[in-house]
Amino acid sequence: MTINDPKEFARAVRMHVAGTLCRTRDSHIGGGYSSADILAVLYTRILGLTPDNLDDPNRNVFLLSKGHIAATFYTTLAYAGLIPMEDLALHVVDGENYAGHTRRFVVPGVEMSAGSLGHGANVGAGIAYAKKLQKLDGRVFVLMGDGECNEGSVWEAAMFAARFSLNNLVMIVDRNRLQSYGSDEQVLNMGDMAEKFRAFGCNTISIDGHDHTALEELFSRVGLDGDPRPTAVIANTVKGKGVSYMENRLEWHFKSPNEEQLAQALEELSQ
Amino acid sequence: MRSTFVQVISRLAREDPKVMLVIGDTGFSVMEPFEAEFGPRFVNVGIAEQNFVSFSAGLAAMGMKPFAYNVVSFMTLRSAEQIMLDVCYQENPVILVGVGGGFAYGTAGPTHHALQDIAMMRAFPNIDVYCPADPAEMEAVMLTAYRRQRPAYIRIGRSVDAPIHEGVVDVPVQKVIPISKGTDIAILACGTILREAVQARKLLEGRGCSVSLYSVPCVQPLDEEAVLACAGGHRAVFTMEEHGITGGLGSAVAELLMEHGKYPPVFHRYGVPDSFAMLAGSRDYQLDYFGLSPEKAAEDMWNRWRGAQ
Repeated sequence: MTINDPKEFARAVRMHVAGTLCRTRDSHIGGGYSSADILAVLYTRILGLTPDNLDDPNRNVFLLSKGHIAATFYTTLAYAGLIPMEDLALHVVDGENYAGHTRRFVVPGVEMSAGSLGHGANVGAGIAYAKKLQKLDGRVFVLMGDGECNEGSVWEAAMFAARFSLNNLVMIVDRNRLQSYGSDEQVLNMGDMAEKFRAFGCNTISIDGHDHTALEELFSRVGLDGDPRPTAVIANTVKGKGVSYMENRLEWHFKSPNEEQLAQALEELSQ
Repeated sequence: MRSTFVQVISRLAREDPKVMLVIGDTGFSVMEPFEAEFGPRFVNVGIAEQNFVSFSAGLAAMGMKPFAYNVVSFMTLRSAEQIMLDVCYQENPVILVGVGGGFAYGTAGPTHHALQDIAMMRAFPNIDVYCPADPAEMEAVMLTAYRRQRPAYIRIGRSVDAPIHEGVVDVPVQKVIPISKGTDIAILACGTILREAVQARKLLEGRGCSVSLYSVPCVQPLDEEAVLACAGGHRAVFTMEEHGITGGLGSAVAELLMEHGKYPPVFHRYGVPDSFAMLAGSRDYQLDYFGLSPEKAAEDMWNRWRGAQ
């Protein structure tokens, strides 16, 4: 059951994820919900991935660097028709392939094993460089968290990508402003992240990370308009987006909904 | 060794357009010919070891065949996680080439000494660990790693080394290479310290001791058959490595012998004890300080062997 409209796609993913995590208790639902609209736009409008072109060297590549939102990502892959919908019942089931952090090779459409933060932009830079060297089409999209940008390796990737004009690399920061133990401001206060990426030499755009139309318009052109710089998209989002009791609440980085909370979440998300 | 590296990778790169060289701002006055010949297939990622490894993994994920060349201590320690997760875990066939194994950068001090790298790489799944001892072994190791197309770590010293082997070394080089055949003592040595082991053997033979000397250019996977056979045929078995005593060749051999019930009457691991080199000194000074010079190693081997008579 694939869905083509990004808004309905994101709604379906969020509702499905709530049910999955109510059952498995293996959360990171808040960061999944903040990324859900970005994923929806990429998978319905931009990436053009199908089960038949996942090995095409000219394909667009998507790397989930914030690998802890595996439940949301698996659900996105299922609604995009890349994995069987029934596989979503296998999330963190013993002996199955759907671990709490995404794993390459064992799940179709997962291009990178993730879990430790600050790897995706660097691997993405390698893929982007190899694409350019071999004159291959397709862009490389990397989705990171804003807390992840505490990692120095992210900035190594940014300066490298700018130096080598990797304009086929699009680094998306899910700027939900909540980390694991506190808010961004409380932890390290990353401040003006757009200005930081700009200073490292990236073409940097700030955007509402829940505006499907704006995201589609932006992703449709970055890296394709002749600008030699890599792109950094600061997607301003709300952690737990879509469910009132989760939104901007630190604890929903970890918590999973109980049956009562699930019912409320489904009620709100269906509106 | 470095010039052998450039010669062999240049040859491979002429034959295979997927071969690339990635450096971490090192190799000045050595790598320039490759850069001049292959242009964008040469990449200097700068002093950024995390990106150095993960970028190389990304290249490999897209079908390129990168040799990633950097200083051992920085490459293996700073970016250990990138090696384990982006290279080993994801089976991206990056060939990591570390220059400065052991005390190669002797006078530079402990920040530049590489004494834990073999142990670390051995502990990671999915990666072959090579310690070539001379240019012939280096060529064989590079060809082996290139053809296997799986993650590999190649550890070399620094200076241009004179040959130990007279001819070419057979490929694939995953077996021990006998240098001499004796009856009393067996020495298994890997990498840069093979040169000292050759001299130690001569000193021992001058005292009437018959020595089998084996070069072990591939520590992981270890040539278990040969190691077990050698343990059965000699009263004393010694390992030598320019590396910490924990987790390297000596540990690998000890683990193997123990698990197979092979207990030679005399067994000792020659390496750097659980210690930093706290005094300034050249490679030769540090080796001697830690009892790894040919003279000190031979004397200690002689005493251990005699003591068990």
